[in-house]
Amino acid sequence: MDGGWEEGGHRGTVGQPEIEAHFDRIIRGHGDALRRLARAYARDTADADDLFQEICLGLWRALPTFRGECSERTFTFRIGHNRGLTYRARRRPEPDEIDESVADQAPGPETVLGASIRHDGLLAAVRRLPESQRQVVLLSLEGLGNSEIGEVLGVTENGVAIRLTRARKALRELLGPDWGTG
Amino acid sequence: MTAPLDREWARLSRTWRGLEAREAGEADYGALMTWVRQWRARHRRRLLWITAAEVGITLLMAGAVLWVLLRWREPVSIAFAAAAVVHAMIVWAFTLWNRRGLWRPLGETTRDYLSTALLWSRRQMQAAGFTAVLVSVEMVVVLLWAGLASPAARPVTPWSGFGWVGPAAITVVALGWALWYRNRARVRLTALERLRRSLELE
Repeated sequence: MDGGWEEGGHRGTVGQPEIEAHFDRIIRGHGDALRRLARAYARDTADADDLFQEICLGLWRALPTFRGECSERTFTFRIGHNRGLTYRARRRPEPDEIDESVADQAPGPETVLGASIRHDGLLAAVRRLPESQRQVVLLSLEGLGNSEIGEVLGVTENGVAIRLTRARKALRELLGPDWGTG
Repeated sequence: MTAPLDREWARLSRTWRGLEAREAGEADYGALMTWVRQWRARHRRRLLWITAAEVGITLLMAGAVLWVLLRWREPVSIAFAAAAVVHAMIVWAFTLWNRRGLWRPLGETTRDYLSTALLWSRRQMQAAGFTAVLVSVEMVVVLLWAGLASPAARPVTPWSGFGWVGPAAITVVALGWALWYRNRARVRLTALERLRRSLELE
């Protein structure tokens, strides 16, 4: 937050070319997932682009500390979510977390979504979820199992399962008839 | 989960993962690498300037104290120099104590990351409070010294010619900064506590 305590710095014996190669590999492998994560945390597309850059920067700075104690994917998502939370802590809380530009297109639970706006509808619904549910949903949608989600967030597998059940129920209500028709 | 639910979730997952491909097309990761390299160069320059400023200020203060001691070899000047050294020691001791256990890599779990962020905000508030108390106490000491001591017993410093404008200005600026810094840290702390509650990590 404001630099300082999260300044990982480039310590250790890992050389710059190795870090660059590792960074490049992670971004090519998980870049799209991190972009989606940024869009789910940010208020609008411009903010999402900024947040994505911040996540990449965080990844770059943290890479020298990566010792393989968890999987590369877990490590990457931890940084993405932690940066997302930093973004959330910086901005003022709002009663409705939905991006207005998406909300204009995104129908409420009672409306059937057309195929062309299905993505925006899902994004809007994910953004509407409470913080604890949004995190598990984002990670689950990216294909992480409960155990891996627990490793990212620092909660037990059982805790993840409980949250995910609640989150799916909430998401189903938000999506209405569009649930599962993606 | 049951099989139908699994299938529904798998469909949603496919929709979700198709999001970025639809929005951004082929991402330009070459430009991103260039941006990260530029940021790294800027960051190094910034660190260099900060280090230079810290060393510069320390040398300036040490030089001023030394100059006072050499120029006016009187007990009052020695007392002033001793006070300056004590001040520096108190500030450094507090700074080091206040920073203990604050560094954590970004790759920590969300729970650990938030705990450190909360601790960081609390320490920022402590630093602001410490600054306010320190400058207030020092101002009282300086005023008492100036008010009670005879002119001969007042310390001669490089800024004596400016009267009390200098110390008063420093006090006002320091108190203003402490207030602003504390308020900023409090806002951040509130936001982080709200996040932790909403994440059910307590």
